[in-house]
Amino acid sequence: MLDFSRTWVPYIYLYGVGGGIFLIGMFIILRSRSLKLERVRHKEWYKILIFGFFYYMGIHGLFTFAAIGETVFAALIGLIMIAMTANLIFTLFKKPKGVG
Amino acid sequence: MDSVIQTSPSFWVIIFGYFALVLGFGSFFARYNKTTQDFFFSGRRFSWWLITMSIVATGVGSHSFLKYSAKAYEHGFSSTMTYMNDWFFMPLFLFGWLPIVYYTKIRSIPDYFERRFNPGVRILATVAILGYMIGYIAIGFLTMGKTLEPLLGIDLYTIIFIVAIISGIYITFGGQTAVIFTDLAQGFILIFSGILVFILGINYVGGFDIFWGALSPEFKLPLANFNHPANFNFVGIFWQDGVAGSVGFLFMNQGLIMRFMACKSVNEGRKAAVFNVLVLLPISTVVVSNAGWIGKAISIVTPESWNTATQLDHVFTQVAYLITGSEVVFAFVIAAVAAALMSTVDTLINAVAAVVINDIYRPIVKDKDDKHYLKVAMIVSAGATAVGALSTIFFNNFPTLYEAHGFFHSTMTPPLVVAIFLGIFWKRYSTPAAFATFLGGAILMWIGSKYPQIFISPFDHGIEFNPDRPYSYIRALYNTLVCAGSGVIVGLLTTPPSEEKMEGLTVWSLDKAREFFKGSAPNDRPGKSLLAKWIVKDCEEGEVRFSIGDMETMGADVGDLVYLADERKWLGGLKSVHSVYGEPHKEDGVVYITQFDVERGLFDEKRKLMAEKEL
Repeated sequence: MLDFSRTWVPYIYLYGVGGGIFLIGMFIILRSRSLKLERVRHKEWYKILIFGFFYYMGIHGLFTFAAIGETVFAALIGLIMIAMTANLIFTLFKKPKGVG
Repeated sequence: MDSVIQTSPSFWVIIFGYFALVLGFGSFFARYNKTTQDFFFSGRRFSWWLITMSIVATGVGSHSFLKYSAKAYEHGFSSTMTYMNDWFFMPLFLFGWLPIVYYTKIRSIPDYFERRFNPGVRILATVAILGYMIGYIAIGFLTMGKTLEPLLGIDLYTIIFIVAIISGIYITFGGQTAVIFTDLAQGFILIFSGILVFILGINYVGGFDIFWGALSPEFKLPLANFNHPANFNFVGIFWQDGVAGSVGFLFMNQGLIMRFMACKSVNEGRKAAVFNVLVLLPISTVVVSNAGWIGKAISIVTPESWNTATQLDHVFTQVAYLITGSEVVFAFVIAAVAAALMSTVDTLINAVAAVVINDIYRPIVKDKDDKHYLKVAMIVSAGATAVGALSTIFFNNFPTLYEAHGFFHSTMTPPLVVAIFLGIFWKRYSTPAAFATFLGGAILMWIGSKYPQIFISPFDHGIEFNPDRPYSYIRALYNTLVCAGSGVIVGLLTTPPSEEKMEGLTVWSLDKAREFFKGSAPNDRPGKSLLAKWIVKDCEEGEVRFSIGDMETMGADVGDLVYLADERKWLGGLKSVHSVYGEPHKEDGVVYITQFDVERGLFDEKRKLMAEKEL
């Protein structure tokens, strides 16, 4: 049986420190108006950026649960991720509504 | 020492046949190099899907197959960490660095440093970036040598010499377009062959259930143990790879930046980057690591077939040899590793040429025609290949490729990464502060490496001190902090640069960068792309003319930028040009263009053009 420090501490560190870096990045691009939420295309990019963060959290969560034999949780995360990915592909392949 | 793997002549026929195919491919696309702009940036014309596949081949270097297979065999699924921690910096890349490099039309990363600071900082950045890229090329060549060593049984450096000559030929003559198209093909080949190894390996051990059941829960965890062992731990690799490596690859890999600059627009570059990180990197990590997992499963399920004397860096070759069961398939897999090598190395050699020509040669030898610079670029490409091959001697001193690469990232990337970051995002970051980052940072890094128990240990997160290779990975955290600290302290103590000097060069003035790119205020009115027949007519130089109705459909005004491409989307923009809307005419569905643009875009008479407003 693997203890918590082996299974989840690296995960918490990764998404704690990495999440902090990600949030600072989001703050800077919004504050500097490099990402303008009033633009349709930029709003899509905003959603994709948030999606990507949770997508990777999902992948690492899924494999951690699968490794320790918690298959129900792993399958649940897998299903959520499939739905999220389908949504992403739809967003990327949609015709652009504007420029910039 | 592991034994030499026996091969027949047909194996080598396939390997050399593959190399010949790649050489031919590169030579074919050399005809698209008319200027240095084409040689380095491919005329900024390609679609996102073409760029993203070629990025796969660049990112999944040959070192990836060997080094991740070795770590996967030793430590399990946590070998995937390196490929799965790139998202944290995506906001800053997609909406910071990418639009800045694209809109400011910089020729190289050092070029950015001169515009943002001064020529002195450019020199420091040039030295740092050349060191980074030459090191990367060396690791690529070393990998290829180690891949072929158990097959050939001849001296490692002889193999490297031969591989360097073959790689050098096609990059020297092909340029960036050859690199992109060769990488496109190789991206598909290496993903296919990596998955093939996985499927054949699962089959070899008796099915997925046996494979999964044979591996321990700890082996299957996606993240390594937090702080031990010293040669592979989560926190060290997070700072070495997740931070220094990821930022280094995304922000200061001149080869990758040039690839994004070959996209037809910033938005296409963003799509390429996102698709790569979200879809292709998770696939790629399985592609490069699975031989190690399979090797471990084989060593447990059928220990009699596993050669226990196999060196870690030879795990991939050993597994591929065992599971393919046919020499043809084995040759194909080895050719894919060769593909990965060439794809990484060709990009970097082209990038080294770009930096040398634009940052060293052009400022010294001015006012020559473009053909002269193109010729020198080719000579530099050949020289970079030779220097890269020689540098393998240094990296061969490390126990595994993974550790060589880890040390390289921890040491080479921090000063440049910090300077780029502070330069883009912090307006107070001045020229003296940039000097402090490079020089002060380098001195403190050197002191840290000399006295690691005093300076690096406060940041070690409990990682054991290994006197032979002290803090291989976590030193990246110390190095990044001292470089950032030097820059921030001097930045706070000196006068900030004026707003005018920084216009378009920081994330705070991107609208100015777009204006600079276009030459006038951007037009963000929504519009659609359309298909039009083309007719050669006399237009103003650099202009194309559409009907009033068509311009309305595209939401375009006279003076806006337009992108014209062959209607066949699968060409990915190979036949295309950028131009400017001229005065409109009255023929709907027709575009008037000059003979010069027809030749530049290689347009076919029978094909319509897809037109799209850019800015």
